[in-house]
Amino acid sequence: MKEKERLGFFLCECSKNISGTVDVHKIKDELQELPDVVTAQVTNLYCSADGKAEIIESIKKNNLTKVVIGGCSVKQHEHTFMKVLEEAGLNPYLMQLVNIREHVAWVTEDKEKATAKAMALLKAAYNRVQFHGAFEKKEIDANADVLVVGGGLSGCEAALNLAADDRKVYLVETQPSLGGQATKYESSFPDLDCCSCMILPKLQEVVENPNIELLNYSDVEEVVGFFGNFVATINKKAKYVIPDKCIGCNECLDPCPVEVPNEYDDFLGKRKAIHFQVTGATPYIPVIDKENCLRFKGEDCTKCRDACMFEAIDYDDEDEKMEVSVGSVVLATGFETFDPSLIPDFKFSNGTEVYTALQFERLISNTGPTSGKLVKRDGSQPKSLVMVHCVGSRDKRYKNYCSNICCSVLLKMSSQILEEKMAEGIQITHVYRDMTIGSTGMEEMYENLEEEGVKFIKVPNPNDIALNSQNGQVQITLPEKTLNADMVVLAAAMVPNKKADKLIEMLMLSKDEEGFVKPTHRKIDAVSTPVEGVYVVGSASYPKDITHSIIDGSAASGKIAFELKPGKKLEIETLISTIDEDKCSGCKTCISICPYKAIGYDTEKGVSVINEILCRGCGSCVAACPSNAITARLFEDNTILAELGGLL
Amino acid sequence: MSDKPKIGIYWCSSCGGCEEAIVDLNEAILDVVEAVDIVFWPVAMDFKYDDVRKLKDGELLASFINGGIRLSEQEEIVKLLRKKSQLVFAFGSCAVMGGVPGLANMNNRESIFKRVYKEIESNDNPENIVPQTEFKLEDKYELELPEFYDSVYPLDQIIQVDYYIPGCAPAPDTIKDAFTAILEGKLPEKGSVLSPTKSLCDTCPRKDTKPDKIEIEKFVEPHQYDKLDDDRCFLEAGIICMGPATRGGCGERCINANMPCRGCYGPPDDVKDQGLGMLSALASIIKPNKEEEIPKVIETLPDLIGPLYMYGLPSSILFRKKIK
Amino acid sequence: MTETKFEPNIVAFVCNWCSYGGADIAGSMRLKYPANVKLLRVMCSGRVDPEFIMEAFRRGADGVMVLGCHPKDCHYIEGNYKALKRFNMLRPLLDQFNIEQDRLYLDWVSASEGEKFARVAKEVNERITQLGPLNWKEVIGQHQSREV
Repeated sequence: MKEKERLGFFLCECSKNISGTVDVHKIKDELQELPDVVTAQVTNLYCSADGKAEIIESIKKNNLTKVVIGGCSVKQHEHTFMKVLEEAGLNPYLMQLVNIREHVAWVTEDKEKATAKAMALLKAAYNRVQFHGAFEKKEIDANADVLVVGGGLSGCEAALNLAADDRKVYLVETQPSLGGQATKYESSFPDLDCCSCMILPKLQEVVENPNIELLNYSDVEEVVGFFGNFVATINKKAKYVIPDKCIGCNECLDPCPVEVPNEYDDFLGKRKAIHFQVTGATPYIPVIDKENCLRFKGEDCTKCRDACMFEAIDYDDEDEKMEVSVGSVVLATGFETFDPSLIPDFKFSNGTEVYTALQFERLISNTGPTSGKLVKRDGSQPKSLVMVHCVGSRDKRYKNYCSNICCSVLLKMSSQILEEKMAEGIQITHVYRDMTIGSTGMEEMYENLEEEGVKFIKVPNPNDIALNSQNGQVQITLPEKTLNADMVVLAAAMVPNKKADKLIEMLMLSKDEEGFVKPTHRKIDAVSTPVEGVYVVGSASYPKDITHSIIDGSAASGKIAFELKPGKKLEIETLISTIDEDKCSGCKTCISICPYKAIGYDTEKGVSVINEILCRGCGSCVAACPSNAITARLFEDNTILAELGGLL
Repeated sequence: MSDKPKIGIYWCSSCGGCEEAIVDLNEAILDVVEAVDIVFWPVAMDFKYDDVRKLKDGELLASFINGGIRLSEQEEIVKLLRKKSQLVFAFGSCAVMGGVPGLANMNNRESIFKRVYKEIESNDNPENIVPQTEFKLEDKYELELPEFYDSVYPLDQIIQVDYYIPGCAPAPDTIKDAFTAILEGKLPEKGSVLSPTKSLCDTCPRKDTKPDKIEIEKFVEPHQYDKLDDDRCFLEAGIICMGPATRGGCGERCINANMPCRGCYGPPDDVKDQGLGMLSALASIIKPNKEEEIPKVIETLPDLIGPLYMYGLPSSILFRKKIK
Repeated sequence: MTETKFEPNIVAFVCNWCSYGGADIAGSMRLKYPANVKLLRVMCSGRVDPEFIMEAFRRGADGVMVLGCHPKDCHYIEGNYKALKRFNMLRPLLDQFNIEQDRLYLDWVSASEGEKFARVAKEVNERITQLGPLNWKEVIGQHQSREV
């Protein structure tokens, strides 16, 4: 038989705040009569030092097993009184704080009614605490190492901030080179400062950091586990160049007989089968592209190996799988660009004088296919250039959001062309809907361009215009007029990176309506995700510029550094839900609805299992479980029904 | 008279399927008859209530009572049996929860009489006579007839029940196991339901193919669905299957006949209200998250009482419909 | 016999993070609302089992409120949507039991909306007062005496 409870009531007068409206003495007398109530006491202020001492003394003297405090909000003093119980040697959960101040005294005019209501709430608490169990705080071992997926700027920033002697960072990048999309830019807005000058040193730092294991040209194939204990399987693709031997001397490139369109320049220029992804590739080591290399098509070509003075070419290289154990994962998988050929009237195709902004960026880049010379495909200089904003953006038919950076990018390019006098006498015309330029300096740039003769034509929706290419010219049909231009640049929307889909699914992350990874909260928790220990940074969650991508990386690293300290255990939520496997039939209802993906299925036992590290104790699954096999600590069905009985 | 333990079997508001179930035990019934004396079984043998009244209190080892309580006569006899029995078993869904006849709690005496005796097209009742509790025959015989209650009650709302044997009707194995437990003295704690508490999904033949995540975009009736594979979870197709909220032990008879569970075994031990347990689970897995789209999914379900309370309305929290 | 004005018995399930806080703010602002609205705190409106609501009606509540965080602001991401879905499904069920749907009320009250909390409490109280007592104990009649 269960031992008899010994209950104590402590009613706070809170000066006149409570006792001015609620007759606490009358309540005290009534409560004293309830079964198992050993003491009912009233004091002026239980949160004061004297008040707390009184409770501790009473708990000890009366050997109390449960405590009900009538006072203020749990938001204000639940913690205070939990500590008081602990000091008195009682488990802190064996207590209920009843808010008879904010919820009764302060909101009720009639004293009698207020007293009756307070009485009902206290009786409800009396019913409820009978069911309170003692719970201990729990800690688990956690791995402080981090997996960063994506070597763009946000991923690199996170990796650099987190790498420390006692914390290892695995940085996985699917491409041979770090830097992501930002490396394609010659200069950045608003200052036209040199992108590679900003970026390359940072990337080099990543390469040189002994606590970062750089896994470039690699893909994450699987991630299993949970916060503090993830295991990832990574496939390191064969590079056919031994990084330790290669010094990046370039000698192997020229002899290669294969030439293919360069995807890095969005197929504008050409590259060899053995190639550097970027001119300033980091790390500066080439890879052989197996798809196009003659050797892998059955020919016995060894031209690159013959040219290499360091025996760095290894045709027998193979993909290699490795497993890494980490405590958290940073998803920095970036964006892709919208394909303008999806807009029928644009008749977008390669080979015309219509370019996406990224292609155009390569055209005016010193490291691009024309070495920075602004020329048409026929080699002539353009006399007129039309830049079209919002291509695929802000349009229900395509992408319903603003891509944030396109207006700034187009203004920057215009500035760059004029400032560097890339084409004498060129007329630049912008076709736009709204000028969305946030950062400082951009407004000034916009005004300067207007002064310098750049034209801005506002149209209702740039996606409704028509483009017709003929003989190296483009005709642009606007609602009220028709333009002709030598070149057209399309600011194509930034869209979610489809290549990350598999990983997003594996990590059980949700996407928003546009397909971007959904953070826990768009405003107040924008780099965390509902899956504890998984963070999302950069344009994987929505289109961002360089500044915000790097801020994201810092933000996520701050959170991780705070939550997973090397060598420290992870304190987990005490008030979680638990499944009784003798009652669970494995109907999986709970698995479908857990917002934290904290519930899994034990195939062997045929039951659902709650991961106590991931569970946050919301109790949604408890309410949903059709077998009542799940209980929420301190909010069990019986506890709540007992409380309800007291209220009614 | 033999010294074999005596048992009684009685029916209240039920269809007779439970008696059939006992007979359907085939050879096993011979073992039962061998082991006990059936001293009261109005459906099968000729007994008078007075035979029971003459028994000593507690003389019956056990009474098996099927059907819910709807008439004063039933109340009287089950109270009598309670007195005369050491153990009372609620036998079958109707005694355990009210059963299908319990759906009458959506009406009351007046509305039922009105419909059954006055409105039904095939009736020939020009004087609109409805059942009476007292009737004077030929002006000299005062007849007293049982009262028809406003509601149907599960057995345990009328008398104390020691054990519950669920099912509509109870599956042969459930009955056999119960008899074995009685005869071998291996009955569990009083108040127990003599069937596993884990819900039907535990032993469902479709369990292994059920996906982890199920979302309901619209509810579908079995007859509206022609593509039902033999191994696909009904809920996956939007068909209400009461399996998750219904205790197992039935032998998955309906599932094996490619029909969803209707809940006849009643809720698992800790579930107070089978219908609400299922409602909460169903509502939770409705797919849309937009405020305006959620009611559209629910509208595809024209009736809730039928699917959720086919067997358990009188044992549900609200017990009956309020008749204004 | 003197006729006393009917004062309904109303239980409000409030979530820990938003609505409980909203009620706190109503208190800090000393906004008055009827004393017969009594709060029961749960961690999330998604914890509110339909069983609690029906038990409340059975045991004498004339009205039940479920208050949670605003859509997209749920502390537990989407527990409030779970509450919303169950609420939407309970309404037609209440209707079938002949319980006025208005006796069950769901709304979103943030931790800063003290004014809204008090207003909603008053409005619901008024509505339930007009509907009159539910008195389910009478509906279920003589044999139904189960109490927990």
